[in-house]
Amino acid sequence: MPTVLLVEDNEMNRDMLLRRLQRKGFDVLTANDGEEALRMTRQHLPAVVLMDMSLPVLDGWEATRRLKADPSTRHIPVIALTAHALPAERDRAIEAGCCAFETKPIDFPKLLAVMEAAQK
Amino acid sequence: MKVTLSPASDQARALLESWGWEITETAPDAVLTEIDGRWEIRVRPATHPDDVIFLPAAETELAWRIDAAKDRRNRLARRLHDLRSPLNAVQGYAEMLVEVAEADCLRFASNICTASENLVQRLQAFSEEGV
Repeated sequence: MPTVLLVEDNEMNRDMLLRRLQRKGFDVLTANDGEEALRMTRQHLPAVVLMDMSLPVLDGWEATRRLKADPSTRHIPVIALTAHALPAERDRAIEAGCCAFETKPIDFPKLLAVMEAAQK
Repeated sequence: MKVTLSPASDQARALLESWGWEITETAPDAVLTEIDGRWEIRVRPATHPDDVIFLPAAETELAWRIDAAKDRRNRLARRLHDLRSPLNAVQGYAEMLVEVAEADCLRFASNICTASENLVQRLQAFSEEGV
């Protein structure tokens, strides 16, 4: 199964989604903030990045912009996972370079489908 | 300020343009709807009963009310964000419990899922309608 980088600063949300993805057979790496997400992505080149947008140190919008500006990581799809549900937030995430936008609470079967589509 | 006028009467347009305000359909700060001698100020997606200014309007008062409406919208967005984040964990763990639980525990976990989904739907309606 492909490797997924889960970027989430909320401990419970990170633990919950990590376990659910592992139960589906994914190899899951985790990062707690945007800086760590950049470091982990460049080091491990995961198949997909699941990016919370409100993050400490470096937020998810800026982290995504930097991943998309880096030739070594720009091909990796970034899916925004956020509790910001307003339409303007979706536009903001897409403008930053995210290929999809999923709002919390996460619809897990839908997220799996979006992850599969993003890798094609 | 950038506003959308509905309807865009010549008189209203002249007043706003005399203040140097831009009348636009694209990404306005607010939508001003003229009804019975007053403008109702709408800042999407939220609306508020206090978003009303009687005509003829004064520039400073209208600008202040639009800023206040934007502040309310931003506060609402932050509160919704603060609710969605813990709800994500509640719903996610409950769905995992449904996958592994048996007998009564399965029923209890299913009830948590149902209640959580209900709460999500109410939150969604709340965010679309505003306060």
